Amino acid sequence: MKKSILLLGICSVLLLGACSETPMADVEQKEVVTNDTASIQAIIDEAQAKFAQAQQQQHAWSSTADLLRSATAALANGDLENARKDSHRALLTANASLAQAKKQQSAWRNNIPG
Amino acid sequence: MRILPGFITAITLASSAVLWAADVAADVAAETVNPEADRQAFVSFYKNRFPDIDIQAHKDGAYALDPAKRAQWQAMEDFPPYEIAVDEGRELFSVAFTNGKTYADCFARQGIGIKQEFPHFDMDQNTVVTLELAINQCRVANNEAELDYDSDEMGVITAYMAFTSRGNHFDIKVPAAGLAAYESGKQFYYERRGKLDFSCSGCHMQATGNMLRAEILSASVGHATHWPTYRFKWEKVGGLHKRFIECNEQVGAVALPQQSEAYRNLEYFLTYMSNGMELNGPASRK
Repeated sequence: MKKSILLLGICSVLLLGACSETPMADVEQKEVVTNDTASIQAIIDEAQAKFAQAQQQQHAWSSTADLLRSATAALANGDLENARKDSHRALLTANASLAQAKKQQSAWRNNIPG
Repeated sequence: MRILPGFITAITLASSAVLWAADVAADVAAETVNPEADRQAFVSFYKNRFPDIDIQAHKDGAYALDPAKRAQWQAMEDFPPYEIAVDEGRELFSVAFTNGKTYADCFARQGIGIKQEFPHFDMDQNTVVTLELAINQCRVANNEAELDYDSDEMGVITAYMAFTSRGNHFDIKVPAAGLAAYESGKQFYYERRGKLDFSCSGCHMQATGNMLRAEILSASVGHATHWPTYRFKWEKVGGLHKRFIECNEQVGAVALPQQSEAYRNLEYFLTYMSNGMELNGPASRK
């Protein structure tokens, strides 16, 4: 176990060099081209579907629900800038909650002391 | 220059994955569901963490860990805020349903002094049955509407039933058919969830005894003994699942409904961990 932790630590340091290629960059790029009602609605729908999936796995985050509500409200009010921002944040947090659910399927055992 | 770190990263990641997979395989192979071994390890953890505190004292939660807060709490207990709930519960418990029967007809020993037997795994229903669920099942069996789990009525009836069980000790059983439910509750307890990525164990095992803002994090052993509880922030008596909801929301997770299967399984696990401990509900907490 100690060896794997050590190797993971080394990986973490090395991966810092590749930070410019994180998914955040993709998201920023998407944000530029999704500044219209239909595209934003598509992002909201995708985030909503992933939120529902996370709920089924008992790992949904309340921040996703809040962001979905605000994105939907902003879109309804024609506030595309805030709708775009919040829909992307909702999608990001929904993806993160699903990643957490997947990881915890096995990682929970690591939290047992001893 | 970027190729070299990438190459090294790929190699180390692959090696790490192989070693990790071997670790996990060994852990899983060694893993057998053994609730009693779990409980003994659980209790030992708190004995080691708090060597000067008797394990039974944890039934008082954080008040077992801080003498000053304990003194304040004991002063409050001179006029217990749940007293009215117990009286109201006693009254409601004996009110006959429209068919003439009462709650007493649904439970062993007329429903008096039985809380230490809940939750239990019901073989016929193939699920964990909590006291609250049994109360609603009793009502439905007698053609009455179910109570809302957050209602005052549910709070006071369970407060009365807990009061009649004071001094008894938990003796929760996990039959072979209940092992999956127990394990599911155990997983829920140790899983990280919410935006803050916290698990129940993160606060109540790893960080137990530490301060979280102005509060001391209580030990999980004894967490099940004192419900329902009058919480001053609720201004009413509420059940353990109401507290689960609060904990989940505090870490940024979407909470589950009271009496959902996941929460009943969690209660099953937590209560089993408190086997042998004295029931002291209802209680009061801040």
